[in-house]
Formats: sequence, structure tokens, C-alpha cells
Amino acid sequence: MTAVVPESSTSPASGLQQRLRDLVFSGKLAWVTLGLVIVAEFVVFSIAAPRFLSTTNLLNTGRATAVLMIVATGATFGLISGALDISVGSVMALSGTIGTQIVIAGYPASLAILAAIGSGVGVGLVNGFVVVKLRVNPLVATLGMLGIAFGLAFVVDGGSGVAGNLRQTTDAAYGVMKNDLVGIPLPLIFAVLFAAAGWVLLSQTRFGLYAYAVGGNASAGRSVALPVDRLRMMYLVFSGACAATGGYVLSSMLGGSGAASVPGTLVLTVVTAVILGGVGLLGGTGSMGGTILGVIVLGVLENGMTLAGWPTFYQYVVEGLLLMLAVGLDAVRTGGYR
Amino acid sequence: MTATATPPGAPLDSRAQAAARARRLLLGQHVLLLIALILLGTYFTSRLDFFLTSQNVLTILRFSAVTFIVATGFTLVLIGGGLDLSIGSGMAVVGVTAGKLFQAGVPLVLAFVIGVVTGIVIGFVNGYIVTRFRINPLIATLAMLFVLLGVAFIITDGRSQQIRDDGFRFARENVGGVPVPVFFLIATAVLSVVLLHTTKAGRHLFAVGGNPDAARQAAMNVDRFRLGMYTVAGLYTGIAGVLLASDLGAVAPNSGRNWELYVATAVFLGGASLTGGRGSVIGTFVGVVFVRTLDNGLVQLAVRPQIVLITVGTAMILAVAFDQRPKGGFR
Repeated sequence: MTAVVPESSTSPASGLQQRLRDLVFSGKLAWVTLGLVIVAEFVVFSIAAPRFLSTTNLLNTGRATAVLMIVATGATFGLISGALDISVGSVMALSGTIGTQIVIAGYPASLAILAAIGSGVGVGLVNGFVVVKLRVNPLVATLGMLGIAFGLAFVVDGGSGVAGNLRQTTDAAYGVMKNDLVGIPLPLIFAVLFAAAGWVLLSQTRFGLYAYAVGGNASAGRSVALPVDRLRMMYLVFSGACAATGGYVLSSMLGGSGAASVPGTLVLTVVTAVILGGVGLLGGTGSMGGTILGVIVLGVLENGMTLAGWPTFYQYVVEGLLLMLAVGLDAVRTGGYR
Repeated sequence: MTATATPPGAPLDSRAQAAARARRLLLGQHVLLLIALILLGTYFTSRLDFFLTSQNVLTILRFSAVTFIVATGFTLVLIGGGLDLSIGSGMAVVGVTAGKLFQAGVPLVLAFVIGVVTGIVIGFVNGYIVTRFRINPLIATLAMLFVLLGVAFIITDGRSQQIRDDGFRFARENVGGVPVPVFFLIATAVLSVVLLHTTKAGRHLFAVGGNPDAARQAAMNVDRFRLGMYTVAGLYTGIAGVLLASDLGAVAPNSGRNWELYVATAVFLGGASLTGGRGSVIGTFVGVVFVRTLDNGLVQLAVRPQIVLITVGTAMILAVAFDQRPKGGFR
């Protein structure tokens, strides 16, 4: 306890605001770098693949990146609050599978969507319970949940485990994300609104502010009477809900999805985007603006590499290296692992 | 992951600490686990006529062998305060390297040796990244998981192929009625116990993982230890990868999927700690046998593999929860 006295002796509110101000200030440099990376990607890929710069392709990129944006929004809150949630890919699979099966069983799409997102809230509650009550490190808790939710998705799926055994639905309301609105893919519009809401939530509300407090210094938070455990639970629930929303959007775009529809590498992409965007691995730092840029970097990269004719597995390598680079930069900033 | 150092010298806690120590002595985790294993075995025996036959027990041991070898590497890394999520992909790279070389006409033994060396190189790279670039081992090895998966796919062009050669499939043979992988299990166990408990380096590893700052003050080269332990873990990944490829009789880039989950579960059940400085070969052995027995019994009870995955995930969370309870856990 004595260790935290110097920090909490200043007024907590102004201390937090100062932290926030520092954060935005230091974040801007990283934003410029990410902006330059995006420009560089555009230059390289428009040379490597002439079709890259067409309106159709850019809209396609937006469509394909929308899900990543939605899931990354939740992961940003999670990681800022100090919880690296690696169960998000499995939660997406579970959510999409539950939604699909409910709509196939003949229930209305609204119920299916509600249940899909509800499954993410449920998983988040369990994750939160394990972290807060059983005091398990969030990484391990969500690693276990990765297996559990994935297994559950297969059970709901009918348990074949075969990727090609996807049961489609033609329900128009459930598959609404297949459509365009004034020429722009609906998932893209939805993701932009979602990210904007996340931005406001993170930078303008207490819910967002407390994420920094909990992740930056939990014991300082406790000493100013923040309900740290309840907040941690809420960020994990939020992360689960966002992942489930992403799972539904993917499922809707595909016209129904099963447990095997979510690529196993998705969690890598999400974590890379968020950390590339400046969220520190130890919690307490980061911003939605950075996450959005990180998502764009990766979305453009995936699309560009596909168009340039690189097989998917080269993308694993590139993304893995990118993640290491992102964390390496973070390590330079913070001193890193010792 | 975050700083979970226990508050130093808090006198009020000394009674609680003594109680915790007494509890740990009486209910040492692998003793409890052994009891759980016996209960589990009894249950399966009562439900399945076939369960407690020597053939099935040998089957469980055969499946335990590869898991144990790679789990021992995982344990060493945990003891030294690291983490390695890349083991599954590492095994896949090792397996496809050996398999592809063999298919290309390289002599069998040489192909296997190169496979094991590949594992050592992978371990060294993991250790180098973690110590040189100061990247958190969780993220470094998560990234490596995908890099290596990509490499395994690139080597095989994304295709799995059977290898129908009895020499290549040596891991399926029996010697004196005992499956070949079991001999590797014994060798690994002996080597690791010797390494950990009779050498100075092994004993220092516990200090390095338990309190790296104190170890530095005692003039230990923490980074060298960590580089070494990742490299040894790489050796184990290499051996396990070769055995797995041989057992499957195939070049399969997918073969390492979900291994980190099974291995982490076994090792945490066996009493190793996520915060470093704690873990044992015997604990890991009991943990691995427990997980593989669970697997074997559930499959024979015709429980679907997805449920097995759910059970394993739950077991891991409970193992860590149990482990963290006396120390206060994640705060």
C-alpha cells in the first residue's frame, strides 16, 4: 500500500486528466507514423495490383475490414483495462453459430441477433467472473474460454466440425449485412458508426476514463474507491459483446455461419491492430483513433496481399512479424520485458 | 502478466503465509492431482470394460509421450519466468521439415536430425526475440505461433500428404511390447530432472523465474538463462515434432493446432505457475497423464471431441484458479 501514496496524494481527477492529456499528445506521433504506413501500402499495392485502387475494391476492403473494426473496438477497451482477451475469435464463432441455428429453426431474425450478441455478453460475464472472483490472470482465463467457446460453437453447430458443412439461411432480415446502402456496404457503415460510438465512449465518458484508471494502476484505483473488480468485469463483458456483434455481422454477410467459419488467425489480427494502434500491453494506454488506424493498416494489407496473389499463409507470417514489430516498439517505449 | 509481486515483508500476512505453506505441503498440487487421476481412472474403469487393460494403458502412455516431451519444455520456460505459445506451430514446422526432406530423398535419420535441429533453432529464435528485443513472451510467442504456422503451410504449399514408409513411422512400433514414444518419454524425464535438480544452472533457473531482479543483483545473467531455457525447450519441441510426424505418418501443416491449450492445461494442472519460479517434471508428468486419460476415457465413452475441448479449457481455468488462490492471484 505504501508504494502508491505519492501517486494518490495528488487529486485523482486531475491526475487522470493529466494522464489522458499526455496520452493523446504522445499518441499523435504514432498516428502520423500509421498514416504514413497506410499511404505506403496504397502506393505499393496500387503498383503491385492495378485493380487495387478501383472503387469496387476499396468498398470491398471496407466490407472485409468491418468485422475487424467492431471486434477491435471491444479489444481496445479490454486491453486498456489490462485484460488481453484472446477468446474473441471463439466468441465470434459461437455468436454466429447461435444466430444462424436460431434463424434456421424458424424464429425471427431479431431474436436470433439478440441471442447471438447475448452469447457474447454471457461469455464476457464468465470471463469476468473467472478473473475477478477466481483471480485468474485474464490471459489464462480467456485462453481457457477460447477452447470452451469454440467447443460450444461446434456443439450448437451440430458437431460435425467440418468447415464445408455450413448451413445457410436465406432469411433476408438476418442477412441484412449483405446489402448496400446508397452504394456503400452496410457492414462498413455499421462499423464506422460502431467505431465512432466507441471513440466517444472511450474519450468522453466515465466508462472510458475508468478503463485507463483500472489498467494503468489498479491499486491506485482501489485507493480512490473505484470499484475495480466490477469495472474489470464490465470491460470483459463489453469486449465479449463487441466480439459477438462482429460474429453476427460476419454471419449475416455470409448468410449463416458455423463454428469453423471464423479463421483461427482472427485473434492475431485483432491483437496486432490494437497494439499497432498504440494500446500498451500492460494496460492503461491507447486510444480509439490509434485502433482505427491499426485496423485500416491491417485491412488494407490483407486485401492488397490477396489482390497481389499472395497465398493466405504468407499473410500469417507478415502479420506475425508485424505484431512483433508493434510490441517491440511498445517495449522500446516502456522498457519492455525484464 | 502484470506485476503480481507479493508485497514484501508484510508482517500481518505471515500467519496466512505459514498457513498457505502448510496447506501446500499437505495438499501438494500433484498429490491432489494424482488422487483426482485415480478417481477419474476408477470412474472410467467402472464404465468401460476395456479401460484398465494393459493395452489401453499403453495407448494412454503413447499419447502422453509426445505431449509430455513438449510440455516439459513448456515447464522449463515457465519456471524461468517465460511463456511459449508457439509450441504447436513449432512442432508442425519440425514435422513438415523432416517429412519433406525425407520425401525429397534425404536419408531417414538425417531428416529427423535436421527436424530436431529446426526445433532448436525455433527455440533459440523465441529466446532471442524475448531477451534481445524485450518483447513480452506472451506476445512474442503468440506472433511466432502464426509465423511458424505460415512457414509450415509455405513449406507444404498448404497440403497434407501421407508418408507410407515403415521407417518413417517408427513411432508406431513397439519394442518389447512398449510403444517407442514411451522410451523417449523416459529419456526426456530423466534428462530434465537431472538438468533441473542436479546442475547449478537448473537450480538458478528457479531463482531467475521467481524473482528476476533479485537474480540480477546476485550477478546472474538472466537473459542468458532465458535464452538457454528457450533453446532447450526448442530441442524438446524438435523431438516432439518428429515423433508426432512419425506417429501421424504424414506431412501435415495443421498438426499442431490446439496443442498449446492441451499442454498449458497439463502443465498448470501439474502445479507450474504463470508467474515463474515454480514447476516440476513430475507434476507435469501427472498433469499430462491426467489430460490424456481424460481425453482417452471421454473419447471411449463416445463423448464428442468438442466436449473434450470444453472440458480441457475448464480444467485449465480451474487449475490456475486453484493455484493462485493462496497467493491472492491476479489483482
